[in-house]
Amino acid sequence: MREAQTQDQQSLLSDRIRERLASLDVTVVELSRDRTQTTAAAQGDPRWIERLLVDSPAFARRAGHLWPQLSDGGEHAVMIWPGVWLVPLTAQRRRRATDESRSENLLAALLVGPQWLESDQLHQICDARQFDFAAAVSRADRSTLVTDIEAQRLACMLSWMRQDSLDIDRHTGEIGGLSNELSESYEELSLLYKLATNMTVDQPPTTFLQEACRELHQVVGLRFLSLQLIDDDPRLNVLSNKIFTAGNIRVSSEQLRAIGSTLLARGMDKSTPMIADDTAILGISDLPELSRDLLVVPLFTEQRVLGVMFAGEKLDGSEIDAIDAKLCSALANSLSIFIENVMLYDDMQAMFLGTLHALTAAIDAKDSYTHGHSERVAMMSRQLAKAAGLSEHDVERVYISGLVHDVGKIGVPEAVLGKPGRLTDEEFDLIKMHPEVGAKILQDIRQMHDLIPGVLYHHERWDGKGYPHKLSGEDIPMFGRLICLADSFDAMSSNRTYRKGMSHEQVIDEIRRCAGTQFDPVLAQEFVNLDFTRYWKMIEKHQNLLVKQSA
Amino acid sequence: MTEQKPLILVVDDETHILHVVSLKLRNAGFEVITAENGEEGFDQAVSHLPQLIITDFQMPFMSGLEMCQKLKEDPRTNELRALMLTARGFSLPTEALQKTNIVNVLSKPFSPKEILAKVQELTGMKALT
Repeated sequence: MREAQTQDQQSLLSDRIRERLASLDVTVVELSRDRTQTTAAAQGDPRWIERLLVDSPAFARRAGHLWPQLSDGGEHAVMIWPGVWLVPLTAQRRRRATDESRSENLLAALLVGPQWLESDQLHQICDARQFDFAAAVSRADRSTLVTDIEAQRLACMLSWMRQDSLDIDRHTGEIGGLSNELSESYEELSLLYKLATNMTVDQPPTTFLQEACRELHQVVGLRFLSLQLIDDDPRLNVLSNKIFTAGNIRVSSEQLRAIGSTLLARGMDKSTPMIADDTAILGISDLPELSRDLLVVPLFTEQRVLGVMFAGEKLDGSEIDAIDAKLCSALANSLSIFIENVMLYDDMQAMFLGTLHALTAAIDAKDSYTHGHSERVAMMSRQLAKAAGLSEHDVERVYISGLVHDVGKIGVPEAVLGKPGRLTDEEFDLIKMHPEVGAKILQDIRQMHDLIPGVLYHHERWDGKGYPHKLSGEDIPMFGRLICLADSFDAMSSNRTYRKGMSHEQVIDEIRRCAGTQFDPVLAQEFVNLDFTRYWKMIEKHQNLLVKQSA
Repeated sequence: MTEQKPLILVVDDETHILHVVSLKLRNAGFEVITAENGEEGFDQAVSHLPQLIITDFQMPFMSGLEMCQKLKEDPRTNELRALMLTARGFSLPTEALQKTNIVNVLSKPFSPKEILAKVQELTGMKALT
């Protein structure tokens, strides 16, 4: 490709110089080494005296003799005959050792001085063409003749101009090359930036991975790209065994999967990507059909390999190189971190739920009534929160807060909790401590901080006569007000050790009656309009469980 | 179709940006002229009435913003549209932008592919591949 460029550059250069010289009325001739012809290369009419020269075989022969001087790239005018100079215009090409001297054509500016008009050679030429010498000389335009010094000066300047032109061309070529490289670097940077910005955990991981593959495929310029994840880590969930592709695959998805599985099974060197220039040697069925060459990059964390990315066949026909491998590696690394994050996030969620269940189990173990109560309160609180228009996130958090709202009862003696008769004031005070005890239990779990208001304030009253802090109205955090309603509802509806549960209508009436005093009036209004079907189903389920337990 | 190639004017005082953007656009079949500051850009726009102008914001003699304002005010050029490519887009006041012909602001560092896609979209030229 480089060779062709210099060819084009040469001809462009020649054209440029030819044009300039023509505009200065300087004749340019094209000489050939092996033929004995010269042709006037410039447009326009060369002066008559020059015409004689150009058409003369003797001139061409003489120029041929002087070929070494003409083609050595020097800065001087070469004197062909007294008063006739040729200033070479084409630059010297550096020859490789194996080249013979080629028969190139040479471009040269033709300069004529007054000595020519008195020379023997002119006589000879005129004789040969049967022109009258004196007439020929009188036709010459003397204003165009140059002295020896002028000829040399012109030669110098033309040589400089030629060299400058070459430099300019070379630089232009270099700039073009640099711009190309820069453009590609910008694309790679852009890709890495985009990836880093989008690598959040709250979008579906499959979306992110598919997008990443698509973008990488565009930037790296390979015909196809496939990312395949392992299938034997349950922590991967929806990502397990997934394949993401981009570009033109050409084989069926089963074949692709089989190839990926084989690559995974073979094991990969974590530290270096693998480049195979000929996939036939890998001995994997269907692989040569997929691609004639292959780049394989593993995705891995410290513990293990998570998957494999493989791609092949550069669209510009070149071979896969370390630059491609590096970009894919960098990306694979980012994706590994992303997948690891997703798994850690899932782990964290699981651990959170696990902790939660541990707490609720503790509540269960403490008091047989509270069994099921927390679940029902959580469910109704969530329903109420949704009806009241809370965000999806808050609705879920209210549910969890409801599950643990009575965790403080662990601090209350069982005898008090399960007492069938009326409680004494001291006993009641012990029970009234459970919101604060619950808050204390939760306060060291960072992920549960937003649950604390529901735990601490679910016994506050709208009119400020509740506990523990006697808050009133909208000073009571929303979670507290929501759970208060659900909690009271379930308390009134279910059978306690000291009384039976009230009928549904009675409970609803009571809630209505206490709206504005015990309960937030707006929330109370929402509450009585909820659908209690699931609640009753849950009551049934819990009662059956209790029956089983006591049996 | 033997339509003339659409003409794009790229204005930026950083020549490497001029080279990268011009190269990308020329390879995609556009004709490109360049200018190195707002004054030159304005003159070029008036003389050649390009289909689209891509300009930097901060430049010597006249900023890209001023240039686009002048172009919008001038009846010869008020139909021309511009894309601003800048690392300081966040400091562009919206009222000032409205007085210009700027239809989009893209930030540096940029993806040359995205620039090309945007130019194709704005000039109605479909991708060649």
